[in-house]
Amino acid sequence: MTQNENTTPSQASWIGFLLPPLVVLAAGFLWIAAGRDDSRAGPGSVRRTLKPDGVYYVYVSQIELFPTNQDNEPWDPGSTASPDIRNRVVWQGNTIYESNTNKDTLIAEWSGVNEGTLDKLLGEKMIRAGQVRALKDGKLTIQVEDVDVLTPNDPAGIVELKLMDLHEGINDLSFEKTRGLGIKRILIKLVSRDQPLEDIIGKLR
Amino acid sequence: MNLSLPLLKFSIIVSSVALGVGMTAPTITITPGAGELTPLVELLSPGELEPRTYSIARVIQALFDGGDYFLAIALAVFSIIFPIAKLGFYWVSAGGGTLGGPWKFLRGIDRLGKFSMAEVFLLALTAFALKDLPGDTMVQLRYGFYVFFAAVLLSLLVSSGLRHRRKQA
Repeated sequence: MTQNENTTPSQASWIGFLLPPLVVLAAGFLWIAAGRDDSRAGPGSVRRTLKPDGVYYVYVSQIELFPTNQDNEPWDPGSTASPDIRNRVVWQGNTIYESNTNKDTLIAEWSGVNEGTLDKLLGEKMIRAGQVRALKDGKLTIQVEDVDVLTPNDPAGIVELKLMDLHEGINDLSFEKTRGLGIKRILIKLVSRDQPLEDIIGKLR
Repeated sequence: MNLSLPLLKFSIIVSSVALGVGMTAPTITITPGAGELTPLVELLSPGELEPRTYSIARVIQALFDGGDYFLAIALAVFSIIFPIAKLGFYWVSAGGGTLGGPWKFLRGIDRLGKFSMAEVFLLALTAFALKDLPGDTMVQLRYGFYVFFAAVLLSLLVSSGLRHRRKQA
């Protein structure tokens, strides 16, 4: 080994210097990316098929209506007011969940958990969702309406779904406008009852 | 400690991966409490008492956002930049970097390395936790902390192995 070799780092060595930093950065970015994918498909929205005969909490977390109703008319005739949206979840012919009314909106959102101060003071149940059993031929019906105070409520549409076509977590369903359907999009959340209460509440939020 | 060059290189790569994961994985979960007022806070503002999880990168970002620039920069330098640079120099050394070049750097880095990562990181985390969180707040270490710690230990092992080889050279 010559003196020159002893004291001058080869160019390859210095290029090699960059290898560990690149590995660190790659590992970090990959970990963040994997975490993002997990959280997207993760708690509350994991794409897992329903366990046959399992019991699930179910509620509609979001409904978006088309700008006009099924007849291509304004939701509130004679005005530009937005609809007041409410939904019902029907299972085996029984209403198992009815939402509050979201006023003046085309995109209504609901939580599966009552955690407002007033709810607590009034002693409302913490979980605000219906319960269904994942039966093989089970069906779920979502009824959506525009609530009117002075006139009868206007139906925005009824959607019937096969339970076993749904999965645990958020089910994002989009629809084309038809003569009987003014619903553009529905997000339905299903959470297995077979887990600790804290986990259920966390996923229902 | 007598470690072969391939084993040293492998350790450096594993340490690099662990460092990358350890910096971005959940490191600490803080469950805020308000002492005797916890039930009242739970009632009035439940969001305030929700557990929060941070990674090292997120802690640094939170310090920056909170205006603690000195602590944020110190933590970033000693817990991220310096350890990464150190692994780079270790790699050069393990790859046959010459005695007059990288070895020289290595000695200084080794000296500084004694103050890097784990100690400073823990100090900053403690300061961060104590500063921000009142009452019977609970701090829980998550897997990211252990991965980060493994990276620190592995890096120390590499350092020891390289020193041994330097003495032999």
